[in-house]
Amino acid sequence: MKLAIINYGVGNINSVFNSLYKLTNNVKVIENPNEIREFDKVVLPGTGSYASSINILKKNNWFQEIKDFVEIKQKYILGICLGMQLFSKIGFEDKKSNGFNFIDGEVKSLLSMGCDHRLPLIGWNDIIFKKKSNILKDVNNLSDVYFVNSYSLIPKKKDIILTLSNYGIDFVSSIEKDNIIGTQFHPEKSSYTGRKILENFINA
Amino acid sequence: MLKKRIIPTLLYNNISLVKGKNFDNWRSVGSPITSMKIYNLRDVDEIYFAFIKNKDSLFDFEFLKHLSLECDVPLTIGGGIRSLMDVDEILKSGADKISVNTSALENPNFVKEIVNKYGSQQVVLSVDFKRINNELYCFSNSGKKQTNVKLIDWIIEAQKLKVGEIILCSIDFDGTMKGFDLDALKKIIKHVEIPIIISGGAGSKEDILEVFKLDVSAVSISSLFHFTEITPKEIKDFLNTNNIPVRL
Repeated sequence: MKLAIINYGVGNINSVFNSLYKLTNNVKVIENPNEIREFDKVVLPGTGSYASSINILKKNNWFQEIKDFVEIKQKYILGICLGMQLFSKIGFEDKKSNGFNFIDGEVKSLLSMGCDHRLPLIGWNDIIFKKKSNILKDVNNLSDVYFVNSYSLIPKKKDIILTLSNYGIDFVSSIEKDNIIGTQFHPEKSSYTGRKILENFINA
Repeated sequence: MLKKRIIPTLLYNNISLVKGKNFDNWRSVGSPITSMKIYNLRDVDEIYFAFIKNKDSLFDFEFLKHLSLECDVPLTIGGGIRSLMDVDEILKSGADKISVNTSALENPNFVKEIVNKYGSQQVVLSVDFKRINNELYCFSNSGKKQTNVKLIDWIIEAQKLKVGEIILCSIDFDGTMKGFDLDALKKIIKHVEIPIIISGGAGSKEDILEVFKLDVSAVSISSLFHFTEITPKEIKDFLNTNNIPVRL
């Protein structure tokens, strides 16, 4: 199994790489969209804003390569934080923009969803299991994981929701739809719970 | 429910970790990599690592890579960040967030540049303040230089610059271990909508409980861990029995 981390130019690839490398030697950071074809699974990290990230992905030809990888080749992808949010149909951060459309749903601010707590949401929060999945194998319900976000994915179909979390309001903290997995939290920064989830993705 | 965070703070002078009192009288308190390993084993919530260095000296990015490799929880790096290039390299070296103080006071636009490039969530504004004639003023250059910027004004402005968090450190209370500067905190807390990390003065578990009764997101702790036997776990157990949500 060959695993790639997509580096499209923004954010912190190193901590994702470090945590995966501790689990497998078969992980590589790729910066060229064509390279993706040689891999079996990819991780799409993300920081920055929805609109600007989609822009960069499109400009650098990542967008179509990732779409083919996921939709045509049906290979596994793990989106982390903004990486997961980009799987949606539409995002409303900065301005309205279209995402990968792997998941029918929208990305909206926690504020607009009714959250009245301090934002961004930063820190450890528990994940409430909504369904069984191999991705959550050996992870306990209500484990704490690390979040950093102001926006949240709202999927139309609730059956893809793996876990919810609560910050004044309930929001989706992880999803799974066939070969598409996403976590709003940062498994690479979530100590043993995060490590387990990454391990489960590697073994998926 | 979101948990209150306990953040050990490590100050590094490019030779060893140090800890002072009122930003002065520095004592050496051990090696950075060893300390990082220990905190990581103890599964703290996050680590704040700050350089106390000459503004012209350069960051050792290889050292930072080594350091971040030892850290399984979020790592914030601060101290002497002057340019967007510093930020790029520090984040590439494995840090999760950066903190700015002096460079932000000198040029608020710099904060905007970082936020535009990386997003609010990776930018922590570090604010060191002190009482002068009963007014709270911001200090720059590791507490060495008084500015004419009032604490409240700066905090309001910084939120407009869209920093993600604010770490507030009372120079008067730093290293004294006599409890946090609650008076100052109460004055400013209503002006802050983003997460607040409070720093300076933690001397007991009770001090930390007291501060968490206010709407504070995290505490930064240095002397208490360097100079006493109290562990992060002990603090968390104590907070937990007092109904403060923590990650156990």
